[in-house]
Amino acid sequence: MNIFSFSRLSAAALLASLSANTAFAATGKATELEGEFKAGPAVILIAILVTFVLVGVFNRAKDTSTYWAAGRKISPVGAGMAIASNWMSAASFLGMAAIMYGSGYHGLSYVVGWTGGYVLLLILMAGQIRRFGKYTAADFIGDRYYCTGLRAYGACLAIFISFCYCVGQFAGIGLMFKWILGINYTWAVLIGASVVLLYTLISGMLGVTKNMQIQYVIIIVSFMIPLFILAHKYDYFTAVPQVGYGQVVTDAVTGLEPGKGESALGHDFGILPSPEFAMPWDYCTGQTWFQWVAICFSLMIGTAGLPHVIQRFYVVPRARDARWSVVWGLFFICLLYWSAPVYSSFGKILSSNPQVGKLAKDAIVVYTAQLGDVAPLIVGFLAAGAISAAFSTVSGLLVAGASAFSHDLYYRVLNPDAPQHLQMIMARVGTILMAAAVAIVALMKLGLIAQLVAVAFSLAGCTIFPLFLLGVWWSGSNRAGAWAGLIAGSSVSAVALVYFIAGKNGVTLPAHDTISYYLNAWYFAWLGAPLAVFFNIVVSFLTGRNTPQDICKLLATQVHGD
Amino acid sequence: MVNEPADHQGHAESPPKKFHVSFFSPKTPHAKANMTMIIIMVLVWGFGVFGFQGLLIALGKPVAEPVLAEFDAVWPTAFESQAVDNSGKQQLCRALLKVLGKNIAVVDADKVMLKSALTATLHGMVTETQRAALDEAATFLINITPETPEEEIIAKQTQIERISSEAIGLSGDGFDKLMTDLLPASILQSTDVQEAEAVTASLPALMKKYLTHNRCALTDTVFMGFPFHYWYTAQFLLIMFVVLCLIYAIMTDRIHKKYGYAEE
Repeated sequence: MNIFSFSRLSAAALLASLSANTAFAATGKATELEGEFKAGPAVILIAILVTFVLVGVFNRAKDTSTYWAAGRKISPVGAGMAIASNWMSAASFLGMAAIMYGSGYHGLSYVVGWTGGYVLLLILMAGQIRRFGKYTAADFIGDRYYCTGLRAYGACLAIFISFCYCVGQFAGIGLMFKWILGINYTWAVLIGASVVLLYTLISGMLGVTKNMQIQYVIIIVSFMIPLFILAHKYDYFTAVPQVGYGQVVTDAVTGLEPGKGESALGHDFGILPSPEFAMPWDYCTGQTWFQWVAICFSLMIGTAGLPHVIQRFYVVPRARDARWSVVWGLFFICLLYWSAPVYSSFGKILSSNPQVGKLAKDAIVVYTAQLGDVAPLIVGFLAAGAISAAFSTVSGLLVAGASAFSHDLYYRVLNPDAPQHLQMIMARVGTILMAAAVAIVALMKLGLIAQLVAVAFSLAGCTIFPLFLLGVWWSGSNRAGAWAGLIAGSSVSAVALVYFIAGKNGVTLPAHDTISYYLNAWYFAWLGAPLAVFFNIVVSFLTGRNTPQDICKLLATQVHGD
Repeated sequence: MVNEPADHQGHAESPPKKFHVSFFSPKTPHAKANMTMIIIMVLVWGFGVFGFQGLLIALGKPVAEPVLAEFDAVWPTAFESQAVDNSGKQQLCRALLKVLGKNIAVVDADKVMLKSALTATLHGMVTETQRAALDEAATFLINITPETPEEEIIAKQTQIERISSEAIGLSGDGFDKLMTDLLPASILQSTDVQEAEAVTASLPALMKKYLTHNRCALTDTVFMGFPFHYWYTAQFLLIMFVVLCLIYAIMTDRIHKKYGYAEE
């Protein structure tokens, strides 16, 4: 079963690890993920859930502005924490280490891609987006390009991206609930979905944002404690395990003889020389340098184009706060991203004996802690941290998806005369619809939809990112140019999507291998995004750069302070 | 560059101010300072991330682990010929075990080939009785259930370890101990061993794939415990991103102040 956001990579090495490898199968006796009811972790989990709901209740949204954009009352550090936990999903928390575990240096392209995008976002867009002063991503697109069709298209993109992204998270919540409470998957998804829906509904963005700050603290603390324990136990530099694990990587490369203790299963903490863990684009991973670069680039611009990421900038009071919140947010994100490879390094050595089996990628972080014999309560806290990570992302996605539905589609396109209270109702209806749809899909275990999240990044990079980039920096870009760029980006996305789905269903299309390689679901934006920018510029010139003067004026004065 | 006014607007007596924004043609000193800063930042960002990977691509050369030469020296004679003395077979077994020791990096289909080669070679080194004992233990181990008593599992594992490590000549410590620990999961029952032709055909390429790595001075230098390139990508780049953002935020505040630009 394959659950978290970036669950399906094309890499052969990873596919092997995906095939639901039952860890610990050979010895049969050790801990399993299926698990029974665990009292300690369950108490931690329930306490955390109650906190989330209470925080939601005490920070209720009173009007639409609060519901969508938190009333713009958040400090930069607080907004930074919210950015970080909004960003760090179950995938970052549990799954990212798995890519490095499975394909070594190749996995670092994800680490770099998912952080480097924030640099682009900050220096190219954050302050300007905030000064443009709208509620949602589709709002910006619709107003900047003075076109209702584009607004609707943008809203649909935002809903599609948020929806796919969300399914993976719900499934992740289900997995961890199952592990802690020992309940079956269906109940786990239903309970998880209800709790997250409950507090998103009563609180809107403000409660969500407050919760995201709490969630960040839980995420980062629970993620780091086991690292200190592992580093101490196997005698590495313990004060800062994020530095100390360098020796672990080198030990994996040169080989490590027994003598540093044992794993929880009684195997020596040692490994035969395994340079493939650290050497760039190693042959046995089946990954090339082109894929490394293309993934890195696509994830960067994809990050800068994701609706639920962009939307975070509307919750800060001023443009200056938008900038500083990114600085803080990126720092908070990097704390986790500096730490994730530590798990993969320890996991690599701890599972070097084939009797352990290949750790199932869905839960490599939890497994590594268990193999390192970390106390069960701390592992339970780690699992609760994973749930927090999934929750914070889901609530951000629900708000983003629901606001695209209720604000952009319903209020701005279908019924512009809707009074305030009707908009509030629609916002909540949108949230419920989205949560219900996601829960149903997660329950049906439609693997394909969870895998579509791979497409989300490049899709955002091909469509939304170019519109924002040119929209902010070049007033000449007009409606026709926007359509041309959007169609170009969407066409590349459509080709990649068709080949991706066909490949998953075992259908072979013309030139399948070539197109699957160059337009892989994870990185087709390396081609699509530049094409979209190119067509946007060319068609804008051909049609006389006829952007209405009031929009040019808004850009020149309000956005750029001419 | 200013937008062409639409025809009907051209007749107004004092045409309204035309607004235009373009990143590469800033109109005010403030916008110019902004542009310079952004260009520098994007260049640092781009070269920092992709420039370094370019260096790795340009400098990296495929370098084989020493084991590959040891394997090539005895392959395929040690595998196929019964006449070869045991030291050649032992060397082959060690090479195979060193690849199997990469465990998670080896795909399942390749593992079957490696294990087949190992089992077949080993069978050629032991007595008929030992061979039967290995087979019996291997069959037992793939059929264990959660109800199987742990002592019996350990007894069978020890049986395989004892017979095979003696034949291969593994000592009880260092890497030899790790290789010994691999044995119970690496010896197949006879019926699972692949055809010799299939093993012979696939093994050389397979060994080369797992034992060759892209290396250069950047990967072989150790920095703060890390291979340098790993440290650069996993840690330094993230630090660079945070610092870039910090500098940008500070510089933007300064530029705004210098040109008297008040936001909101």
